[in-house]
Amino acid sequence: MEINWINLAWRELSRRKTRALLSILGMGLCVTLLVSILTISRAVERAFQGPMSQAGADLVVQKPGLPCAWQQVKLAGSLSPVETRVLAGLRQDREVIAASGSLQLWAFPMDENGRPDQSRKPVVVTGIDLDDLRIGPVKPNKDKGACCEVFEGDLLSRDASKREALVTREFARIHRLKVGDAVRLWKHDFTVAGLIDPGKLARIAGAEVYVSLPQAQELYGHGLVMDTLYLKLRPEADPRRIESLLKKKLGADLAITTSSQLLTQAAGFEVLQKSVTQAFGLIVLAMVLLLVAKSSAAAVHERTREIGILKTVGWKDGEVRRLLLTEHFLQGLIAGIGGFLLGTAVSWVYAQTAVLKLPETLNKYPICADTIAPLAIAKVKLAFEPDLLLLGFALSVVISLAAAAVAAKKSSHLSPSEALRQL
Amino acid sequence: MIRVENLSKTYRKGTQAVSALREVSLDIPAGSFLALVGRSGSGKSTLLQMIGGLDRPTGGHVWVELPEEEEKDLAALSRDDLALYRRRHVGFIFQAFNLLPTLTLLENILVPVVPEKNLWQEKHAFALELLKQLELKERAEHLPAELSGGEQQRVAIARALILDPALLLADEPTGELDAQTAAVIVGLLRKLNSEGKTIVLATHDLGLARHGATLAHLEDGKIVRMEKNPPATT
Repeated sequence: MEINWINLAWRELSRRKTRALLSILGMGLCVTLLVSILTISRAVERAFQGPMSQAGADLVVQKPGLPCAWQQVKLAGSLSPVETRVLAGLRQDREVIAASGSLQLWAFPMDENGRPDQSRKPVVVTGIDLDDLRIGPVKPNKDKGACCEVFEGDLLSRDASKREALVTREFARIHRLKVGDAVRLWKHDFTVAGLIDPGKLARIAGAEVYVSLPQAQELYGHGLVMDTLYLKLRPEADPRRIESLLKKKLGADLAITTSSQLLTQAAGFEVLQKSVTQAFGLIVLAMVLLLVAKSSAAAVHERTREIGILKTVGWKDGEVRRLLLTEHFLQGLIAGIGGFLLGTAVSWVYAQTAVLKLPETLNKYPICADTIAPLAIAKVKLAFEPDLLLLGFALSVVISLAAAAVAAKKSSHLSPSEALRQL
Repeated sequence: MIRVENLSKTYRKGTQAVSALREVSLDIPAGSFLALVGRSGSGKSTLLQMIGGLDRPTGGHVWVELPEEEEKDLAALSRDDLALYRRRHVGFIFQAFNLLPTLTLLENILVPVVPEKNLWQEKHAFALELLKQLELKERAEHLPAELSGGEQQRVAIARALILDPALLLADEPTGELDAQTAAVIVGLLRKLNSEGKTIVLATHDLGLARHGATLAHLEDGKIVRMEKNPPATT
């Protein structure tokens, strides 16, 4: 086999296993940290962008209020109702592509005598705006033109005389419902028009049962109101102008959520990513650099005599330097691959165990609801991040080469006779 | 032909200056066998290193005539040119063999060839031939630690010869060998000299030095006496 810089360098690393492994471990952990933090933060960001993108909205607007008194069908959580006529104005705005609303309710069951049945759990009901299904909690499938979430049956009819409902798979399973059965909300029976997959729903204003907005308003009994607005803006739109317009119309105390705000509201993760991660990462980077630099300097010092031999047989300074840098490049490469794999594994474990709850205002499930979990949690899905792979390699190789550069320069300038006198 | 002219070398040891060579002048004709003989600290190894371009003098010159080139002063060469001079024109043999422990015998012999990629095929075949001549072909893939001292020194000689240098510099080459093995090594050096290589041997062993055609006796950094040996008998 031809010997060249790479296999000479490899032999040297193999010979000094402990030192090489320590350096690789140090750099590898640094890459692991970086890759796992960035992979997780990106996955979390995507997870929290999910509800907004699934709703098709750039802005979700709500008006905080006080919890209202108990009634048979009440507003979920503590939002103030907003009149639906606002939508008409918003739809006229040149920067708004689509505007829609929903009304989320808790419908408490009644017994046979028309009295509240406290032994049964409330049903989470969301009224959806059938006038514009491009945005909102339930959207039609772009490809099929039908509602993608309906896996059995049909989307709700626009005929106001028909009381129809969509129920989630989980709710249907618990209550043994199928298409065509009736689901009772307060004193009305609604025919199950379709079954929907909660995994595909926007998790904002997620419910167990979906009815048309007018029928939800009828259940609530307080006029043409909604509690959540969805706005899709044109790319060139100025969200701040829309926000101030909304505040003028609906009051200054509006809660306006964008995907980045959702991230911050939900977990404060953006803060972690942007400040703690950077500060922590820099400290770790500096420590690893110091560790590897010291290790490299010690390794090069130990090899003074060998360097002397190479120079004696006619290697130029640059050729000796090239050998040392090749060794460190290999170390960096191994650390980069190992660190990336380990970082991905750590991220995978996190993704499997993470429970990312949406802010309560966006998904107001009563604690005692039957099917809380699927809709209140954002799913963390990992993606292959080629730029992180490159970043991991680059980081470890740069650390390794930077750490070796000084030692390599120093050793390459040794006089061969001086080097041979060592040891 | 090598011409050493008023060569001096002073080392600094703390605040003290130590003169290892004091204005040494010497001619080494091409194809000669010169033995530098003297006690430890007499300056013979330092002189060898100056001739081999391993170190730079603090005074004087080492003029070398290279094939198809003008006479050059080693003291005036750049670091890279000195490295090329060592690679292409000089072979070194040391008392401690100085083999690289992680490489096999064959690889050790080929280490000087690594920067000369275009020579690889030719020199790989030559290295195998050298191992055969030195009766080490069967051990080509062994590591130095698996060899005896004499075998290691033979490998070091093969490494010194791989780029076919005109000059071989041997610093106490038999210092760590038993008498029988030492005789083999000396025999090899004499054979190489008879094939046209210029040999400069540094030793404290007068008996070994007697194998050289010329003896330069060094004391305290100076050549105190030059001595011609009668033609050697094998």
